[in-house]
Amino acid sequence: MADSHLASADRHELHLDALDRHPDVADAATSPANGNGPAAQRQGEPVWQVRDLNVTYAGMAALSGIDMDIHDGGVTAIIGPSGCGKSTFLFCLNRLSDLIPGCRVDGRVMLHSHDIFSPGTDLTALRRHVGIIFQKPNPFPTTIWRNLEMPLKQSGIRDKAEIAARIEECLTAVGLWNEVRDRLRRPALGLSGGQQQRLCIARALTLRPEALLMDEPCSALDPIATGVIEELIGEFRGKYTTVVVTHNLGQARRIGTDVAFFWNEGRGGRIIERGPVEKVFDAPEDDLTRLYVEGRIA
Amino acid sequence: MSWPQAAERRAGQGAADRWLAALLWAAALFSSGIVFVIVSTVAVEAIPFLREIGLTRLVSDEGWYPTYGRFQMTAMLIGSLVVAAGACVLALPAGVVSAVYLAFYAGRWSGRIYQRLLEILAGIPSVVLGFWGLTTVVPLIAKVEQPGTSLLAASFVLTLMILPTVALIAFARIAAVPDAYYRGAIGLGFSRWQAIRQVVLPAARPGIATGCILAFARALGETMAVVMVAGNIVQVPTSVFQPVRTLSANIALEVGYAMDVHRSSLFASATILVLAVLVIFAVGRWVAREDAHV
Amino acid sequence: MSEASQPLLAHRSALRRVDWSAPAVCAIPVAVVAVMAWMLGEIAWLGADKLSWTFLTEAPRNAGREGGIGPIIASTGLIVGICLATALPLAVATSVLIAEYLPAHSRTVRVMRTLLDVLAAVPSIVFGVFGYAFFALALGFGFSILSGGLTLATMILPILIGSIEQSLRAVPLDMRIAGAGLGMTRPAVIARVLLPLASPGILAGTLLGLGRALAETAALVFTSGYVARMPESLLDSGRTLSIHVFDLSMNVPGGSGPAAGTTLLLVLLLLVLNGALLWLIAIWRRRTGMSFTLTP
Repeated sequence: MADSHLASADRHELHLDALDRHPDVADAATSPANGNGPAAQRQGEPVWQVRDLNVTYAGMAALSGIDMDIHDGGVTAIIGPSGCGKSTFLFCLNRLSDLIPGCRVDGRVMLHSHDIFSPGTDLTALRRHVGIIFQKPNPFPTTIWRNLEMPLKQSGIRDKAEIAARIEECLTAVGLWNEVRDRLRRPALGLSGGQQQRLCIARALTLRPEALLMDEPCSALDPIATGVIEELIGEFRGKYTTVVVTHNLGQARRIGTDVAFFWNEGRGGRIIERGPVEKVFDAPEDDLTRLYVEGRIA
Repeated sequence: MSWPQAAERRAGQGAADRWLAALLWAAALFSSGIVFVIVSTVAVEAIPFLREIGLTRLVSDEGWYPTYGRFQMTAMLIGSLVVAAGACVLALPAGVVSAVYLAFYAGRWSGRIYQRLLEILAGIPSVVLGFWGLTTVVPLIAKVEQPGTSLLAASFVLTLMILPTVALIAFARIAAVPDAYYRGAIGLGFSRWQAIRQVVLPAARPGIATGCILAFARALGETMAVVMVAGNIVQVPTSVFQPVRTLSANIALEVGYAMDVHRSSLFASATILVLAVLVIFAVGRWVAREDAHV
Repeated sequence: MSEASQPLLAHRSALRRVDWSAPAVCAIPVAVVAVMAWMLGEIAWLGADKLSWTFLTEAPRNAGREGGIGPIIASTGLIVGICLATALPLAVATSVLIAEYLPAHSRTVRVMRTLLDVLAAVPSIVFGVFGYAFFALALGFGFSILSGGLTLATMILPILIGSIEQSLRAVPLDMRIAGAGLGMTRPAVIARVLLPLASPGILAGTLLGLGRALAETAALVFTSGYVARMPESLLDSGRTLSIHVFDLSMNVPGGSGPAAGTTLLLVLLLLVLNGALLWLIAIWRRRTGMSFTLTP
């Protein structure tokens, strides 16, 4: 498995060498070419190539030797028991890992052809390019409108009409527009949990990211709200590259196109198996994977 | 709650972040360094006195006649201590009982109102308390024994100033005692008062002690209210009805016209005052640290 | 009233005997409230007939026995204004560094906090002689509104920093991560998310500092001076309301009427400030759903 994996990686890298002349991550964030459209055309290309990623928290291994490609336009579900480094992996994809005290990262995380852990990476541009959604909805305790307007203004968009248009577009995209159009100036914390989470997704979408990272986006929500979010993620296929961490196997199966199964035997989380969702769930190569997806170990 | 420093710096948040950090550092070093400027300014002004007169004459001179070169401060030092101690005698028990009331006896509204009133009392200017003391308390005391402006008046006014400090700090400490202690004691058949007295107060004791120590330091340093009601005669009082002059009152009364060594002697007494308060403060800190071990 | 709060426990003790501790404990707050009522009532009684529009606007005459306190209110405003204008930016900057840039338990933070605690413990008369020696004489500002305002600024700095730092820390970590996740730089998150969220706390701390500045006398007697004329520049001497009360009651025989009027005004100002503080905290709680407590 490892051999074929490396071979395919090499192919991609050869191909991506040509991309080096393209705008790097910093420019890509503001370039309209990276909007929703072209992502669909590049279906199948890896957006991220992760090579030999090792992460420690204050000396304790959290992830060891992770190699992984994340494909354009797909929904990659990261599954595994708690403590296996799923969220840590997610945070490495847009360097929010920098915000975790005592966290040390080794290895390469290539976003297209740019190693995002290389010195001088423009973090601001990176995070505008790759949106993130957390377990607990975290709208700013201000109005719905200001929540959406703030990141736009921060990224230099001042035109009122454009701001209004983008806000409507993003709220529509998450199916929230009709629910909140009359109360945009009301507190975001007045919304229900599911609505708040969709607001957070809309907020991430305002910046027209290429990719979305989601850290157990439904685990704080009731089943109905969960269904709405899952449906939304399904709609993202082909439009955004989505990486979803979940502890819910059913959810991974419902929304994922690819799956990566993480496991930690005490020396840091490793990938046991990864591939298309049907393969990992229905014909796993590894016994551990089979036991896990059958719910016999946790 | 804070940003992981090293990682974000390595991350290169950009020039704006570095500039802001530099600016904030400058401000923070300035704010936290001011205390050195204050203490050294006051201490430097005291040097001429220490050089020409010396510390021993603060005790050995035959009285406080600064214009005649006599600089004995013992009486005022005693005055300060006695006035502050007098205030503590009343304020500490009343403050602690107030805290107990807030924690265990008050109803929903009565407790809230009493707490607000204590907060208001804590914010009443010392000059207002002094004015009230002078127009109301002093004449009452004068009916018992002349002249009215006295150790008793000063201590009473100071009591009102430090009581809220004691009460609010003690309340915070008592509220931090785990509920289980009180319930456990009640479960053992203790009455409410027994449970508080035997279990809750001992558990909160170091925190309450810190509050009391801080209150004493505040009483020692308080000036204007004392100047207004204490009578300001330099003497060691032999009864609570006699006028006294405290160290801080002396500074306030004489800095305006003092010259040369006399002026320097006042800065020397300010230095003594600030050192005394700092020592008390350090003791309070030490007691509070004991608190952490419980 | 006290029984209502602990129905179960009250019931238990009622089974055995009357709880005599309740009236004993409650006697203290009753006494304290009675003394406060006596004091505030007396001040209101003495000062009420003095307070009038002419008293508030006219200049004092005959050493303050007659006339009003117009120039004194103006000087008070200027001194407090200078005090806040200097102390507030410094305090915000210091608190942002402590709360957002330095690790919470680092040595630097501990040292800074200790120094600020020490600053808070320095008696106000020491601030007075410091301001006199430093601002008035060494820097040559003389007895002036500027000297007084700057002295007060050093005095209220720890109060401001304490409450601003606390209100920044009350903003959940989520908000910082959300900001970073949206590609906002740290200065942007601080300016656009954290400071606005903490603003009611910052305002509350400012009111607290303002109250302390209004109440102060000892630090001002030798820095801003006694002059009761209308100030024409910041380098003029000017007296605050509290110095006016002090001067009238100590140095002006027959001055207790206007002193009572000024005292009443001072007390009313502080009560309004206190009310504003509570209102502010309530608003914040309602708007953000977060709680905010100002500890002593």
